[in-house]
Amino acid sequence: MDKVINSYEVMFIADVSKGDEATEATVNKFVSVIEANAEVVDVAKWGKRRLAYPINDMPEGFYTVVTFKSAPEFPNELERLMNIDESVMRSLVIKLEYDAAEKKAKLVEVSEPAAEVAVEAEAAAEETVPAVEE
Amino acid sequence: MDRTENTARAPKPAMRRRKKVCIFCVDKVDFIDYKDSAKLRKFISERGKILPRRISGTCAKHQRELNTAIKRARQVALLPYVTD
Repeated sequence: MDKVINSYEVMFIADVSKGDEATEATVNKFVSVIEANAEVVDVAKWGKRRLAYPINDMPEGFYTVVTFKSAPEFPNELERLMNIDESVMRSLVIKLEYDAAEKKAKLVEVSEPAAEVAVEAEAAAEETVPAVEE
Repeated sequence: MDRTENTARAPKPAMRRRKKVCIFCVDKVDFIDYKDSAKLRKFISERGKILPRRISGTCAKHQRELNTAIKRARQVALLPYVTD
């Protein structure tokens, strides 16, 4: 039987009260934990954001979103580690219904031809300009 | 098919009973992202409650997905549970 590999996405909010370095250390720690146990597709650091409501009396936190592919056992372990770590204010792991790597490849594909089309359109516009003037 | 604007009042014979068309169906959305809080904000009331289908006009399938998306966004403090 093939090994089951699923796509997951984790969003976690790191505590910013202990200074930028401590925040960065927390973020890097978990990113490297994920890298060690799963195939990372994308890491997005949103940076410091205002929370919609205070968590542990803190008005803001450092958001990080990591998309990865792994066996189904890893997300539970990751959740457990994040719950233990006090510098992670909140975390959310979700399973993605689509293949994260495929979707990312598609997004890149879509954006590149779009740029080409824009260039072509520009060229076409330039060609038509003299015609209009005549 | 081009029906991006003005679907609410468009005199479509088949759609006469319902004024609104699900905007997720129009945009052909297959996954409602909980991270897009700006978009989700359109579907919550001033107090932070999720708008019912009869007001937002979303179809049953997308309303279900929207519900999970909003609830996920609330968990990570992207959207409020309550606002006074």
